[in-house]
Amino acid sequence: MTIQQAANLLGARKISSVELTRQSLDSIHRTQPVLNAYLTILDEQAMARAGEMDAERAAGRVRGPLHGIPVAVKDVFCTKGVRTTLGTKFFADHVPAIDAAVVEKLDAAGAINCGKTHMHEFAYGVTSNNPHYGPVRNPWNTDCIPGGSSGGSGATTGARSVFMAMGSDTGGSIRIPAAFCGSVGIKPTTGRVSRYGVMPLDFTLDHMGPLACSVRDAAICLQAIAGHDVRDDSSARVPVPEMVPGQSVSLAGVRVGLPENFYFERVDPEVATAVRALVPVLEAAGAAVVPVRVPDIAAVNAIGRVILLSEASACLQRFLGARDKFGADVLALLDQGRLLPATDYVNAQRLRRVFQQEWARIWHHADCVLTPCSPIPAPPIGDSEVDIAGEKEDTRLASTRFVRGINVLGLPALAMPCGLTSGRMPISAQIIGPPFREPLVFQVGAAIEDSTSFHLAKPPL
Amino acid sequence: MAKDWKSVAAAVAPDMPAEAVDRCASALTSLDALFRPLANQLPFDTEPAYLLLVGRGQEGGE
Repeated sequence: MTIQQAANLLGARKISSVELTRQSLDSIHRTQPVLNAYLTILDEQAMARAGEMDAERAAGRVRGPLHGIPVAVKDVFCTKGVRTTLGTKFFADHVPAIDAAVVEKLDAAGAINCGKTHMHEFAYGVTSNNPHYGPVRNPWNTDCIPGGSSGGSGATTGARSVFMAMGSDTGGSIRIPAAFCGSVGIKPTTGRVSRYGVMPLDFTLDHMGPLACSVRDAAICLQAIAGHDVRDDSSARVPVPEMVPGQSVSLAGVRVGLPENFYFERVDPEVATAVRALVPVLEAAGAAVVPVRVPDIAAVNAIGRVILLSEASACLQRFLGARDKFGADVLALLDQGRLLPATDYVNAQRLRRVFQQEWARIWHHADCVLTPCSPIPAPPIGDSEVDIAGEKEDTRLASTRFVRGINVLGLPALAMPCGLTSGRMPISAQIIGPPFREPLVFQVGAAIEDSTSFHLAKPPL
Repeated sequence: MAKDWKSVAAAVAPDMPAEAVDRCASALTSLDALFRPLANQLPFDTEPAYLLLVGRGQEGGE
């Protein structure tokens, strides 16, 4: 069921928010022993809130499509009076005094927060194999990672336990779990969604966005959380347009760029085939699919790694006096960041400008760009290397290869299901748009979704 | 020429255990091999991408 369908049922009094929320909590509790998708489950708070939303509706007040809809929030977002751990021992008992801006907005929209989702420690990694709170598991194959760092949000939306779960994305941490778990995830344009009240990993690469069960659901949620916030210095003073595609989507006049270089190199053949199979789908919807050459994304990824290593180490340096409280992988990255010279960091930010300008030239030829989201499906838990067409590659570098650079460029990017492998693991496409053109990205995604049934596939849980 | 990460660590992070420096070395060396040529060809007048927001928070009225 989509958010719009649930909203229609709620509006017609065919179901109550209390019933929907009970269903979500039941699903969360049923899957928690297997998936470990949550760090905190908010049974009482969620049920009480659902009752309030039902009472409001009965009194004639309806806040919008998220009124009474069960959701979840990654444990990196501050929640007033509710433990917020960041997946780390350092914040094991941390109870914030504030709500993050996104939590405030979801609350104002009438959404029901069912819990805080599990994550990679400090949101610094792609596996969500957390040494302190146990690994999160993939609902499609519990021996596999859900991706990260928003692994719990990926797993719980993949399992269809909630309609939406919030994630954060510094180098792919919304899109990778969406891709590995068969969900839809949007990393918005830099500045589109406030970071206020989110514990930072990186000061210039962090983005907040939803993981959901369909493109329109993701659009409804982004609509609710977008907008300028004076409390966040990176927040953009731009209007929030209508995000949600209409019932019938035409792509007439839309040019979809298909990269000739980089994005189809060193890719699992099943992934490449599934993404290329979207070309006739897009053409049937009226789009012109045009070849494009992208700038050197390997270079952009290297720039992104220098920025992330430097900023994350600066951000978390105060915790490094207690090295034994970190997981080994996060500690290794923090150590690396400490050894990079300041000149490299400044030059990375200068190179970032160069490549932002280079990528902007693509928009003369295409309105958006279609790529695979990840070159691989979800790998097994604990595998530090993956095999791609006979070549070994570090799991973290492979998983982030197609997504990290988009954070450096600040562009909006949608991850959406586009098939299953022969081993029945999700495959995902990425649609990248110009700055603040999320509505176009959603429109293209909705056109694909309307002609296919990939988003309806459910894991065998 | 590959950097001597042990010397770098001794200078900027003397508290970092030697085995931790060893673990960093290969990752940093391969990143440096990708990044150094890019940095070396930057035009000297290219500004960083981030903005200095002078006066932010002193605007009043918000």
